[in-house]
Amino acid sequence: MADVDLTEKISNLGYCAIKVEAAKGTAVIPDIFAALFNESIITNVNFDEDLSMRGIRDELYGHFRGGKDHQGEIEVLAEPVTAAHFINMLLKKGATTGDAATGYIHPFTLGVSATLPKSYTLEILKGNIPFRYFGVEAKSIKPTFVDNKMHLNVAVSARGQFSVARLASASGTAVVLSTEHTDSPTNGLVVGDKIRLYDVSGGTYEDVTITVIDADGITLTVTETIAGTYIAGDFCYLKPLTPGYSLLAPFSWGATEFCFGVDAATALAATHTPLEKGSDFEIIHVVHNDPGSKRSGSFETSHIIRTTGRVNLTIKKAFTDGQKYHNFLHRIKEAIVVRCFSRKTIGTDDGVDAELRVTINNPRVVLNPVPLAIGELIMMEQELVSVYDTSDTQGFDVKVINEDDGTAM
Amino acid sequence: MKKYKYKNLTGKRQEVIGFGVVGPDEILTTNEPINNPNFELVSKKETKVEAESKKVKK
Repeated sequence: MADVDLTEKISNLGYCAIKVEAAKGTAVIPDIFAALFNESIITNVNFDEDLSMRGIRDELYGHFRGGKDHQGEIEVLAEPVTAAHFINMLLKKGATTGDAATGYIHPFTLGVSATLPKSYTLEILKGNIPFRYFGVEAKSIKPTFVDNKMHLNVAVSARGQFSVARLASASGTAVVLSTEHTDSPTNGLVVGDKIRLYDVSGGTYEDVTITVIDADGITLTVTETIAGTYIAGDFCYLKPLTPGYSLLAPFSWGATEFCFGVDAATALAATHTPLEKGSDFEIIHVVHNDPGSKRSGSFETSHIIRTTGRVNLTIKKAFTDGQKYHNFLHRIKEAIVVRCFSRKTIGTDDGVDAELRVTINNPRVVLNPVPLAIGELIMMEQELVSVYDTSDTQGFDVKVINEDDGTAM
Repeated sequence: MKKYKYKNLTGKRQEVIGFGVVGPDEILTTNEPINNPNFELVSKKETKVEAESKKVKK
């Protein structure tokens, strides 16, 4: 039995860990640690207000149980290992090609199947308590450049969460969780998880390892014989993981290239055009009934259904000639390939850097302001959106080139 | 004498916070247990055994 450290905690001591799920919505123990800057994922229990007339002046007579949802944003360092996983949560991954010598290429396109885009288990440590979200999928990814390095702002929805669970009882090798306001409180736990049983009155805990999760959704069998005495009202949570990082150098503004051409292949081969900071893009794959579908028979988000997708792009460039404005006025197609490199050479071949590559086959300029301000350089800020290209039969795609062979995706 | 030995299963270099850098397939030895699925416990030295052996020396 150990005392819980109840002092204030700085968020820097937390972590963000992810892992792809074999079956959507079935949690796994995350093992890939990302470098986290901010997160705002919340669980909304959506209390169902009882506003009925009952002869009282209080506005609310009570609350009924609502359908939960879990959504928010995380901001992580954009580097080649974890970026591929976050995009795997957003888009449909194709077959990985390449090899260890020249790097593995992971292609992603707009599309769905029964298992794609993949769902992930995402665990974030907040103070003493790991918050585990499962069935996590991304809805949009927006890279931003903070100083020179790239961050990814990832908007996510989850099907469920496990953070703190109320104990009904815990003795011997059996832990029974309470079903108050949760039908299957063991959802989100995995065999092999270490959980921390917390004695509220004593302020102490002990760690046990799950060996069996009963189908009843409330009973756990653990390896160790439970030493403490626990009563209803005590609770348990996951034991925090020991973070282990295996990250590469981030993508950076200084190694990002915007390439233009009459079609995607020409743009990829073209010399890049230097743009001003403030040029950026966002990849969106819309979720029906955001944050997720609440279907009958469950108080949790049952499905995350995809609808349409697009890339929004902003290009900030000195107004030096009329070419781009001409393209805007006359709706001239000009494909764009955004190549964000990491200063990490891949494999054994010189000169191949890890890369995040976004190809927008047929972007169309929807706004093209060229404002004047006294004493300022004349800039144009084009706002573009991806449009389906009939020749290339797609509007956009994303590729990540890194050292991973793709088996963990 | 460190009590726990863990093998790095990932095939990648891991920077384990609080414990150092561990190469692919290398062994990490620690005084305290770690909780990371990328590492497999390969041996654990029981504290009881240590206490008994000290007793014999006396």
